[in-house]
Amino acid sequence: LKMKPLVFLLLAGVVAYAVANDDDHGCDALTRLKVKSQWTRAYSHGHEREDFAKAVWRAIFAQVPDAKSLFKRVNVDDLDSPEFVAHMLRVLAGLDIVISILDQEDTLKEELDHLEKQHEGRHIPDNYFDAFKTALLHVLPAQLGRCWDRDAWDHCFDFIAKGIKGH
Amino acid sequence: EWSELAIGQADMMKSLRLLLAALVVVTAVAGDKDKFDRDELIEHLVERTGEVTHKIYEFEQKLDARMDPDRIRRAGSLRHRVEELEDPKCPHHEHSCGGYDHQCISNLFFCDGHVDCRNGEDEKHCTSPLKAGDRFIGDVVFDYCTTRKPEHITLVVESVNTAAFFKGFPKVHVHMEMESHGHDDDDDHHDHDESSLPNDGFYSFGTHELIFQAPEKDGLSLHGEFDGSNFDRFVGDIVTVSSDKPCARFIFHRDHHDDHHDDHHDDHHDDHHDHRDHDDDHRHHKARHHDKHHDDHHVEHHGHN
Repeated sequence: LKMKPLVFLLLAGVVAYAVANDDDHGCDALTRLKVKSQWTRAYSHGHEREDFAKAVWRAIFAQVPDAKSLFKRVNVDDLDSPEFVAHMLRVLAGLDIVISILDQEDTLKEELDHLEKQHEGRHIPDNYFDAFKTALLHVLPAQLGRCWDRDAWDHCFDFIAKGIKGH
Repeated sequence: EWSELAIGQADMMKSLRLLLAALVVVTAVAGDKDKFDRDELIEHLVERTGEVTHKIYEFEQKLDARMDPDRIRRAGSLRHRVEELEDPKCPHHEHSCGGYDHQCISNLFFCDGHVDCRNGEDEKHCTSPLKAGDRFIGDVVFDYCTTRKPEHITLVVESVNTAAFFKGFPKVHVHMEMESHGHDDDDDHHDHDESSLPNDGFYSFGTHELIFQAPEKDGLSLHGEFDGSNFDRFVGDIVTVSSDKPCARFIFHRDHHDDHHDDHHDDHHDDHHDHRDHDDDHRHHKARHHDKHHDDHHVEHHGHN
């Protein structure tokens, strides 16, 4: 008899957690902080940043070669061309903005809406986003070594991608 | 390169030998008068051919001795030790392409399918030194942090998986087997605890490092480093995830015994090492001594980071 309220409380807790989870896909406040700090290390700076970006994009095109057709305008045929290097860095810079404001709900909402509008007309299939995620989830540990949390990235990338895709 | 030259020479030797053989045949067939003289002449020629062939083989053997992969590997290990003592050639997250034309490229670009080094070295050595079924036995050098205080750790490779779109960092799944020695002799019921920890990590072709996650809550994880030439031995550091500093070290040797069972004993290990290095006792100790120096340097090196 004494146990009953406790069981109820536990259940309520589980339900509340599940609801919260559904909202941010497991990318909760603490997880966001973790992603932020790990991103700062991986994203790095200068020449190293260019290499990081290049590794991510090579891994994307190795999965979905057809995606290259979207980037004709930025000289995708030569991945080392200044035009495409600039583009690679631009995209990661966009991701950098989103990740760095993961802990500021309102600003984050604005930015994701903005990115959604930017991507709307381009008809990007969902599997290209998946390829981006897979690439990132492979290059990040290579860059960060042992100190990285796959689940945190899994959840937060999905959350960000959902915001950009709008569904 | 000189090795190509040597191969060219070997080819030349082969054609020369063919020519000699042809000569013998031609001599045997040609003419039929003066049978007696001819037989003597042929005998002489055959003998001479034999001598020349012997000399050719001898020369080929000398060439092979100089191209002996094992010898090149040992020299490479020595070179690596010297390089460890020098200031790093490349910035953090980058690695040297090697050779005489100095170039550093990102670790992320080794074995990724794109040639990034001018000399192409980044795509030339892309066979994983680890494969499913491999076993490495590590002997403790020092241990300031593990709770089990094992004398030996056996690393059993369960699987190695390479993602087709990111080939430079194969994922490695292992089991770490060890016997606990965490307590003093008086406490002997703890002495024979055996553990087998599953552990996930990856290998980096750029740095020849094996990087594992921390398998337990204590935040201790294994970090292995091959010297880039000898893939039968690596220095395995136990590092704390937060500081990245080694607090224990094991020297791992590949276990070449295929018929190996789980019951290894200390004397068995020694046998194993002697066999592997073709060493007598004296040289064996000397090798250990060198290891120690090398390892001390490692601590210092990490300490500055």
